[in-house]
Amino acid sequence: MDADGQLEKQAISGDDQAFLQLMKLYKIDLYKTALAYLKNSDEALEAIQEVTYRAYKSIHSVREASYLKTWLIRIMINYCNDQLKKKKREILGEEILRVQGISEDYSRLEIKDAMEDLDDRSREILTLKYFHDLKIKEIADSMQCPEGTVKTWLNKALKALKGKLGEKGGDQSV
Amino acid sequence: MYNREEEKLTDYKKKFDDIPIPTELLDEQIHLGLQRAKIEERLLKSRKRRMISIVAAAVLILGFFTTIRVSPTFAHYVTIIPGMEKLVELIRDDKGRMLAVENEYYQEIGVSDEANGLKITIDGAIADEQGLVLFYTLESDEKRKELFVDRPQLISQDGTKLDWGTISSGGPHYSDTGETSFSGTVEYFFQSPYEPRDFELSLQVNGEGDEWNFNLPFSIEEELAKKKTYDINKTVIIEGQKIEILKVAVFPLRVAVHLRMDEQNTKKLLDFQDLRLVDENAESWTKITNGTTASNISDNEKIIYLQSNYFKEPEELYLVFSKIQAVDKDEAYVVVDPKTEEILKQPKGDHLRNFKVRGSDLVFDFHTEEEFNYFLFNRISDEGGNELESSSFVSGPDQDGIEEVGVNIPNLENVHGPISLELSFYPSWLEGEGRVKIK
Repeated sequence: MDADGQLEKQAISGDDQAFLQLMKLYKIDLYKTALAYLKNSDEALEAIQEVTYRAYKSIHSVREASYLKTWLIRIMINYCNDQLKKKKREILGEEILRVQGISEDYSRLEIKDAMEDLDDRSREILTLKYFHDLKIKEIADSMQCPEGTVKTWLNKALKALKGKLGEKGGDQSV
Repeated sequence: MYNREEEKLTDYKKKFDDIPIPTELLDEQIHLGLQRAKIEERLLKSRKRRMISIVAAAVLILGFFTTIRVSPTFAHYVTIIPGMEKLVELIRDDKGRMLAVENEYYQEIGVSDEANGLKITIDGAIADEQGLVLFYTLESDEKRKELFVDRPQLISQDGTKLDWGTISSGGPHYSDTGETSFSGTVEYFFQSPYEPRDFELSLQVNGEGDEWNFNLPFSIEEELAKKKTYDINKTVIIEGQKIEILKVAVFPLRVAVHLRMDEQNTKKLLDFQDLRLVDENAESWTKITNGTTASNISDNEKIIYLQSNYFKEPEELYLVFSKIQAVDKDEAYVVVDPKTEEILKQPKGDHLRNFKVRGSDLVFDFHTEEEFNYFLFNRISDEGGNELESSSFVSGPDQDGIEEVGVNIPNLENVHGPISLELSFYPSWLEGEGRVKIK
């Protein structure tokens, strides 16, 4: 974000040019999020279009310019969750199996699997906190809940992750 | 407590650092997403505009009921013409057509055709020597949200060729909640008086994926009123620009004012905004608001259509105008370079700013002091002067006198070099007093 959040404010007030600039500024963060969730670059690209579309339609409702980035990433996460559910119904994770088959990076595979197994909220919190290095306060602001609540969720998420990693024999990566 | 997990999460993140980023593809998707949202916004807006016009219609219909009290002929008509309210809805914007109906110049036709749950009826017509306005009603077995009347084709039953100049067909008809009945007009204007009186109208109706084809043979049985022509040949000079008024022809459906601009004029006259007929009682007949408003014969010669006072017999009649949209002849177009997103040329006043290319749209911020409800551009051509297929649009947000205007050029990606947009309307005016006696 630029110093005084001018760009964000302009975008929120309906300036198309500012909106485009913002999207371009955060496109890499958004793309990586989509890749982490969807694991397919074509689908991740499509996700960028969809998120641009959704964001443009509701950006006027953002009240605080400072959490626009978090807001965008959350739209992406929501979209990806919807997509994953749709996919699960359709092909029962065929694609995921295929991806696993060709990768040799066990540690990454393992955490990826574990993340996938988490509930939506835990995964979202972990993505925001560790993938995007957002502060508890930023997450809380964008979710419009107290910081304490975010901390509780974060703890629960880490605990759940630990459980999942344990289940799968986390020693492989050591 | 969760150090190991946190470490793994950080490692996980790092894996994504080296991932190739398809920057250009990402930008493309961002533009596509924005375009989708803008198109949807535009559609929503136009729907809102329709709502406003429905409110306006309601107000005008109230106005109409007040006039019934003072006009016994009209009151009589309301009782004898079936579906009169629908008819009024269709002609309320046009004084000439209202007068025609009031003077019993509307003729009933009542021909129907039916196919797969949809019935179309030509209820009646207002016809004159050079024009034919057909009023139709569509009735559907089930509620419909949209119906379009498409490809109307009019032939004469005896095979005489019809020399039509303009066709407009009604609709599109929309209803958010769904309706079973819609009314509209199909209008034909001919280049010269037409002889045949027995016709066949074929047309297609589309809506929500369905398609119907109809054939409607009908006849114009009543005698057509003869036009009244006034040869004028007078010149008016406004701000040094000469305008020659050649001829005024009064038909029941419209008044055609034939004008010629002097070749020596330094300005290109775009629109005679307030051209009107005024009679001895200061009653005025302004331009046609809905339908064909003018025909350009050449760059310097045009016919402008006004609402008709045919059924009034004024003692005196004047053609009056005071405000003409005009630009310097060498500034009558805007040139842009889509590659650099630069405006290379535009008329004085700097009304167009912030030019950009969005998908296949050329978009400008349009700055005006007062609301200016015209599409600015007419003919759009490439460097070689080849005309490009295009459509104009206006979209929001309209804030502080800034409006976003633009044109969509479906084939934009294949166009190279600067693009030239000819102006058809522009917020710069000649002002003066033009007044010519017609009668």
